[in-house]
Amino acid sequence: MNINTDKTSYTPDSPDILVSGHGITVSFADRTGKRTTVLDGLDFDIYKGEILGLAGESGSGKSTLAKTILGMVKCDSGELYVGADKPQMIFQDPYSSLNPAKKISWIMQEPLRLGTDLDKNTRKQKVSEMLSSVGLSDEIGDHKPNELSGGQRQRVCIGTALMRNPELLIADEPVSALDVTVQAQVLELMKDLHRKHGFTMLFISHDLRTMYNFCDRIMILQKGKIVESGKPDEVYRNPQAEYTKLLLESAGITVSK
Amino acid sequence: MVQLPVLILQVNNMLLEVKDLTIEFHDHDRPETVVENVSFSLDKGEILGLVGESGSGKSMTAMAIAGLLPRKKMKKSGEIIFEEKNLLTLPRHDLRELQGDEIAVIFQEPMTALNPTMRIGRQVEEALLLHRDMTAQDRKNRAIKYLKAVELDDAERIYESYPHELSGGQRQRVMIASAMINRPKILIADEPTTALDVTVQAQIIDLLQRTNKKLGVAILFISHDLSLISRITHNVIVMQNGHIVEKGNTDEIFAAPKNDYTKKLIAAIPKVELK
Amino acid sequence: MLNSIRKTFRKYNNFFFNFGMIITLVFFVLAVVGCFYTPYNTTEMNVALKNSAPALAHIFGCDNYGRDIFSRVMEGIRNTFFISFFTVLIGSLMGILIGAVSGYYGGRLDEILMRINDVMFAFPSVLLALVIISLFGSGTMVVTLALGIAFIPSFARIVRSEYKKQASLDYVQSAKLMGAKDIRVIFVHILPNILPVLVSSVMIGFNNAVLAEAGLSYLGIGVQPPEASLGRMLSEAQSYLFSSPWYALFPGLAIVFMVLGFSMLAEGISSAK
Repeated sequence: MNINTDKTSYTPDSPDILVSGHGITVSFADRTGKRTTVLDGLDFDIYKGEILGLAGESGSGKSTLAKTILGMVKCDSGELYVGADKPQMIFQDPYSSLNPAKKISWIMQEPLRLGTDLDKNTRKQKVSEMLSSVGLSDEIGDHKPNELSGGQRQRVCIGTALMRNPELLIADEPVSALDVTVQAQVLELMKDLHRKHGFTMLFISHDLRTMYNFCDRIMILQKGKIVESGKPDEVYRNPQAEYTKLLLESAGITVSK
Repeated sequence: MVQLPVLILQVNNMLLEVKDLTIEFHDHDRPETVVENVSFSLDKGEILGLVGESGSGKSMTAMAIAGLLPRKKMKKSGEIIFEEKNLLTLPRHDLRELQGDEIAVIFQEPMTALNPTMRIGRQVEEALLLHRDMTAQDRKNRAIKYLKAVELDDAERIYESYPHELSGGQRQRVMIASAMINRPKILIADEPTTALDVTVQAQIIDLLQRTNKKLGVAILFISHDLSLISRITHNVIVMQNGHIVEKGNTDEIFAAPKNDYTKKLIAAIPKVELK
Repeated sequence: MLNSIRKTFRKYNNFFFNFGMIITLVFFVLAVVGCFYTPYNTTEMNVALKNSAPALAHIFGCDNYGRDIFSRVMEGIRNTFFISFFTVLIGSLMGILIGAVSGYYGGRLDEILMRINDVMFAFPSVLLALVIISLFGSGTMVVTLALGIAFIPSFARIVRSEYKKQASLDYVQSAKLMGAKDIRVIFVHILPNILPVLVSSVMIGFNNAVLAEAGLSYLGIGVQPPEASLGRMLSEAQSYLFSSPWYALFPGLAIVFMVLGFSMLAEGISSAK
C-alpha cells in the first residue's frame, strides 16, 4: 500500500522492510497561513518484527510521524511505503481512547464487526480470549470504561488493537499516563504479546530509560529531523549527536566506568 | 528568666513537624479517609521527597501543609507545627500571612498556575505586594533580580510579558521566582517537572537544587518519579493509600528498601545497565 | 432488562426528576385520553351555562359560549402536547443531522452550515414560524412544521459543539483506524455520548415549543377554532378576566404546569450522574 506520495509507487529494496520513508516532509499551516515544517526530510526504515523506539521531546514531530504512517496526515513531499494493512495505534491517554458510552465487550468486538464476517458468538469468544491474553478477567467485558483503572483501560486498548492481528502497531507514549508500578506491568505485557504475535511495533516515548530495555532499535528525533539511530546499547554508550548526549544526561543515564 | 541552652537550639533543626495527620473527605455518602496518621518532620535546608502513586495521599498531605485544603466538607485531625503554630487550626487570616511568605508552593501545571491576563512582573511581585511594605520601584527591582536568579535571560523583557508568550520551562522558572521572592523557609513543589520535557526537567531540577543550597530553603518535593527523587532528595517518605510505608535517608532506602511496596516501586524504575 | 430499568431509576431518583415525571405523566395521560374522550363535547354550546362558575358538573366552569372548560382544556393540552412533540421531533432530528455533519467534518462545510444557522438563529423562532405560516397558511400541520423548522438552529448549534468536542477525542481516531465509516462513527460511536446533553436540550426545547404554540394560538394563527387551544382560550378569556376569572385561570395553569413539569424533568436528568 502506498500512501499519498507525490511520486509514483515506491518499493523498498529489502523484503524485510515493513515501513519505509524517503525524504518525508510534513508541514502545517497556522491561522495566518504561515507553514511550519514539522517533519523535515526523514529517511527511515522499520523492519518486520522489530520494536523501533522513537524518542524526542514535545515538538520533535514524533506523533506527526506516527499519524503520517497511519495515513492521517498527508506528506508535502517524499515517498512512503507501508507494507502493513490496517496498522493499529495505542494512544497515550487511556481515559479518552475508549468510548465512554460503550461496554468493553462492545468496544473490543468493533474491529471484528468491521473487518470480519464472524457471528456474535464467535466475536464474543474472541473477545474473551483476548481479554485473558491481556491479563484481564472475562467480566471486565460487561463494564464501561469509567469503571476501570488506567492500567486496565490501557490493557483493553492493547487488546482492541490486536483483535485483527495487525502487522504494525504504533504505541504513542502508551504508559506515560500510568502509575509507575502499572507502567512496568503494561510494558511487560506488551513485550509478551510482541513475542507471541510477532507484530512490528513503533514505540513512541520521551523516556529513554524505558526504551533501553524495551526497544530493539531507537531513533532520536529533534525538531523534525532524525539526529541519531541505532541499537539502544550502542547509542547510549556512545552517543554521537549532542542532543542525544543531552537527553541521556537529563534522564540521569551515564556510562559508569 | 532562664536562657535556653544554645546547644539545644543548634541540635533542633526542625522546621516543620507533622503529627498524626489524618484527612477525611465528607463530600460523599460515606466519609473517605485519604491520609491517615501521617507523621514526619522537615529540617532546615532539607530536600524531602514525598513519593507515591495516584491515590497515595501525597498531594493531600502537601496541600494540608500549604493550607490549601478546603475548609468545608473535610475533616482534618492531628497537628502541623510550624514556628510553634498549628497550621491546621490557625485562623484564616494568620494562615494567609504565612502563605507566600514563609511557605510557598509551585505546582505541576505551569500553564494554569499563572494568570493568563496578567503580566509576569505583576504576578512575581504579588507576594511582595501582599506581605511587604515596599515601593513599586523596589518591588520591580527585586522581581527582576529574582527572574535573573532563576536564570531567565532577558529578565526585563519577561517582566513585561504575558504567560502565553513563554515556554513551559520559562513559566516554571517564573513560578519558582515568584515562590522564592519572599525568601520562604519552606518550598512545596508538587510534581514541578512532570509536565515538562526531559531536558527542561533536568534544568529545573538543577535550579531547585541550587536554590536550596544557596538560599537554604527547605523543599518538600512531591513526585511519582522515583529516579528523580533518588537523584535530588536527602530524605524520602514513601506513601501508599494514605499511609507512610517507609521513610528515611534516600540513599539508604534506595540501596536497601525494607517495605515491600517500596521494593516494588524501586523495581519499577527501568534499569539502564550499560554493558 | 428489569434490572437495568431499576438501575436507571435509581440513577435519576431525585426530587426534580420524580416531581417533573409525575406532572409530565399526568399531562401525558390527559393528552392521550383527550384523543378519545372528553367529559363533554368540546364544541357543544349551552346558553344556559354561559360563563358559569366552576361547579361539580363543570369543575373548571364554562366559557362565554357555555362550553365545558375542563373538556376544552383537555383538548387544548392534547393539541399543545402533540404539536410540541412533533415540533421538537422535527427540530431535533434535523438539528442532529446538521449539527453532527457540521461538527464532525468541520472545515468549509461547517462554516457554511453555521452561517446559515446564524441567519436563522437571528430571527426569534416565533417570528420565523410566522413567516412560514403566512406563506403556507395556518392549520395544525403547518404550525407544527413551521415551529419545527424554527427550532432547528438551536439544536444544530448544541449538537455541533458536542460533536466538535467528541471528534477530537482518541476513541474517535481509534474507531477510524479500526475501519469504521464516517456514518458509523457519527451515529454509533459518538451519538450515545452526546445523549445526556441532547435529552436535556430536548426537554427545554419542548418547553419553548409549548410556549411558542400557545403564543401563536393567542395571536390567532395557531390551531383554528372551533378546535380548542390553550393559547386561544387565554386570548378569549381576556375579555372576561374580571367577570369569570376561571376561564383564564385554568388554561393558564395548564401551560404553567406543563412547562414546569418539563423544566423539572430536565433539571432532574442533568443533575443526575
